[in-house]
Amino acid sequence: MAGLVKNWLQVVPWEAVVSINAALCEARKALHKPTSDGYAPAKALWEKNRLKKISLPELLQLCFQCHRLAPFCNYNGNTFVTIVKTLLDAELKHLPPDQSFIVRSIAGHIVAGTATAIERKQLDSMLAALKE
Amino acid sequence: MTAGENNFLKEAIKQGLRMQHRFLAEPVLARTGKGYLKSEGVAPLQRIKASLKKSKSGGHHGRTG
Repeated sequence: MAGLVKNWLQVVPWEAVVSINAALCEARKALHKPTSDGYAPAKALWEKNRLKKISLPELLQLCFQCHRLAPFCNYNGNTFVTIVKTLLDAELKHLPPDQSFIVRSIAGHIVAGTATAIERKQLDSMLAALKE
Repeated sequence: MTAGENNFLKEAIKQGLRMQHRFLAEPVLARTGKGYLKSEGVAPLQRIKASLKKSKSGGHHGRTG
């Protein structure tokens, strides 16, 4: 599946990341504010990779790293998991719904930092099958 | 922002609000090295599989020849 290596983040400028976080914080009346230590490195990492062609595992790793850097005071996890799930929604439309659900679910767990070794292995084998 | 970027943003916000109940506000991963995401259980996948099964059997009955 050639689509798994692409410039995934072309439609996601950093301003969109900030807007997503702002909307999520507003919905829960949480403070939407950049952090003093995480915002600049996360933005730099994002901008550096935004127009690069990367594989799906690289995308997941990048979003996980940005989540871990915590650029915002609140809802970092939802911000980056949402980005990955929305990108995958469009990309996996041709797959059977159950397979698409599993890939999106595991991808979300990886970015959230809760994926198990079994899930990672399952994703690897599903991606390998998609390439064939 | 371009039209594509705007469409993505709208979809992402919808998606994010739908699953917001599964996340904690505070930066758990940055503080502890372990993330947090409330499980949604097997119900959504079961629903998808049931609907696939239903649509397959519906398609079968709908054939005449």
